Amino acid sequence: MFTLKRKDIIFIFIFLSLLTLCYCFLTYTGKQEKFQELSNELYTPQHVVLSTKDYKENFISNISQPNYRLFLEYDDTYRLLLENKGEWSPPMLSGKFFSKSDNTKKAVIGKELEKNTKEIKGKKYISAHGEIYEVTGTMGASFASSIDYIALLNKPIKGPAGDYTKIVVDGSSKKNINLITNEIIKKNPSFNVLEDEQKGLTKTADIPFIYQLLVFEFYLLILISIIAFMRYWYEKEKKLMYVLFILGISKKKVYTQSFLKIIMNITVSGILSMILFFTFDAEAIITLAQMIWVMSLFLFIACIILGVFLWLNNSNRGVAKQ
Amino acid sequence: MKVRELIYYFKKHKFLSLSIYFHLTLFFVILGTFVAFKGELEYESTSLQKIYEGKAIYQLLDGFYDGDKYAEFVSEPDYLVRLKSYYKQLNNTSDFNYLAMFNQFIYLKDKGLPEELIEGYEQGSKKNQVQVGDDIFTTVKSFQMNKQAMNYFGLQVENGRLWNDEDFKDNSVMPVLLGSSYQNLYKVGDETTINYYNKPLTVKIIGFLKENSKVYFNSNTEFYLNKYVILPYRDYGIPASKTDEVFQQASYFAVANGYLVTENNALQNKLMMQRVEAISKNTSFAGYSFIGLSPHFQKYRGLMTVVQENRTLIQSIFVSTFILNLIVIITILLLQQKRRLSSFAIHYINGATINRLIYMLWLEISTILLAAYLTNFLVLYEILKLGDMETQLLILVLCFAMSIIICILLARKLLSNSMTDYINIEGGV
Repeated sequence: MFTLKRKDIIFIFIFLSLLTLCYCFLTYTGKQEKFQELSNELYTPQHVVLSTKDYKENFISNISQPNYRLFLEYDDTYRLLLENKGEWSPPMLSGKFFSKSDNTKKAVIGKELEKNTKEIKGKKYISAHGEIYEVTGTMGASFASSIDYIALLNKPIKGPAGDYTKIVVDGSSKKNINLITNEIIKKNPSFNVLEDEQKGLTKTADIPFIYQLLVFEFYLLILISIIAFMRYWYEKEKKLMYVLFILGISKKKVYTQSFLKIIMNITVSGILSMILFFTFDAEAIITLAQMIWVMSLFLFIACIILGVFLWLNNSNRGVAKQ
Repeated sequence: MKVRELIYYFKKHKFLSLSIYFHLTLFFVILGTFVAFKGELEYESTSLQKIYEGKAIYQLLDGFYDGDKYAEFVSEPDYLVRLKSYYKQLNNTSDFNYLAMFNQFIYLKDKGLPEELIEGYEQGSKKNQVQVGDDIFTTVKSFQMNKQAMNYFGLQVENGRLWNDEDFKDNSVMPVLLGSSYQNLYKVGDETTINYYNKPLTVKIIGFLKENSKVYFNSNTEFYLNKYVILPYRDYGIPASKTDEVFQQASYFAVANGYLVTENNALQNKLMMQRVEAISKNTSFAGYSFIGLSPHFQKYRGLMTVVQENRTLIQSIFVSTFILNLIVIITILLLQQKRRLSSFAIHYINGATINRLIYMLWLEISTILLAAYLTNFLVLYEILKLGDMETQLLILVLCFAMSIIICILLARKLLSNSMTDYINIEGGV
């Protein structure tokens, strides 16, 4: 039966710390990625830039991938959001982003462009290369960033095409983006990929390498921490288990009790850590689903490790074999 | 005897000791990585601050954009002397920094240049090539600057060296710097031929700029020089021939258009404008105009604030990771050592003194800590080459502190209670 002993409290405490640590780190990675986007003019580090001298309006038709975005850059300031599959939106300071049902010409602008808007009958308008767009919202962060100088449009500017057109493919998965890029190039051979068009944090301060290293080290650390503690736990429980064997209780029952014990302990620590996190964290970058996923992962790893130790022990020992 | 006991201890708890050792190593490595990360961000933010904070940048243009006015000016007999004098005074004044920069393309001898280096690549252009004798020359991206620009933006080299004062004097061979994308194509000391403003020149590569070196150019605070061939704006003497004169004319007109950097207050701005007026009058170079604070100049703030915000973020995650990890590690170490108390009690019965026991305790903890520290040093300092000596010293101090704290916590137990308490029961919890 499950009774709360001192050792269980230590178990819960350790896993509470580890889970909280994991949640903190997930929050950090979310924020870091947001910063990278903010400094890179709304693009993720895996975006691809295509350029062509021969732009046709329907160059993309029936791209099967979900979850990607296509931008068309007119110049440094104005940018058209051609496609937005996957509910992406830039960080908004006020107003609202485009919705699928918009029929009129709308724009979302950065903080610094507000002085270029005109107010007519309570609505704000901005002129992009001579065409008027209604401003529905302002995007940005609480601090100055590169997106303060950008305007996103939802409908194309009807005007003579320039010398060349720049298209950007962006999304959350690099594999997806590569597939889409290849599809576009296959259907339109005049497009070519521009290498090395990153800006912002991704390019300065050697961040990508250190960041990846950090993430890798961190997950390894969590794994090792769990292994170390489970080994300690196992070594303590071993004595108890042998006594129970000698008393005649079946191996299966003893093992089941052990597993149940750690499942209960980890679940309790998981619930406690979620409560702790929700009380203290105002910004809620990570969702409840993510937290539950992390907890299940911890459970799974702990059970596997204990299983491995027990199996190794079984195959080694000769004294009290069944 | 102590060493034998130590070895016996490790043999008995092989797996656990190994796990703790790995755990500690990773902990130290993560600490080192965090410190290195923060250091990089801090370095980036300070260099951006040095360049942009509190400064005003103006673009200076010559007034001869009108074809007729230009032709009239160059028809005067001493125009080149006046032009040179104008530039020399601008370059040497102490009232402001004069950054002469431009991205005039050059023809480079092509022995297999990748597409991304050619002029116009970003606009979708293909290679623009000319054949001269046996060689093919392609237009590539090139950037020219004076010494002040190189110093102002704090440019650094990965291989070779930067320009010195001698390099800005007229010589038969022009020393050039290359962006990091050229690393695979040339090495320091190579010589090749270029065609710059219609003049063939022999150039020698003296260095490669560090990857992602950037300058401020054309309202862009992130003008990266990776794919550029960088030429110095040199001082030339009296032209030897008509073609030489045309070359010098192009070159000096290029440097007469540059960027003026001064402190962003009314007094300095006024001084700067007065100085430029004085120079213009002095050298009888009448045509110039300013473009005031380039429109998107404040963009630098964007990158710098994000870097600073990132630094704050790193700091907070670092602190929370450090504290939580420390708690977990110390708890595990403590628990493990508590189990040892019963064996210590046995030693006590056999005649060991309490001091000896405490020493053995400390030895067990610090051996693992030291082994973990050394592995961390190897990984971080030698293999990954992150962080510096200072970080490693800090980690060493932490190492000692941890061993002393755990030792004290347990020693207290040993000292306060009588040994018989520990003989029978299994330690730990």
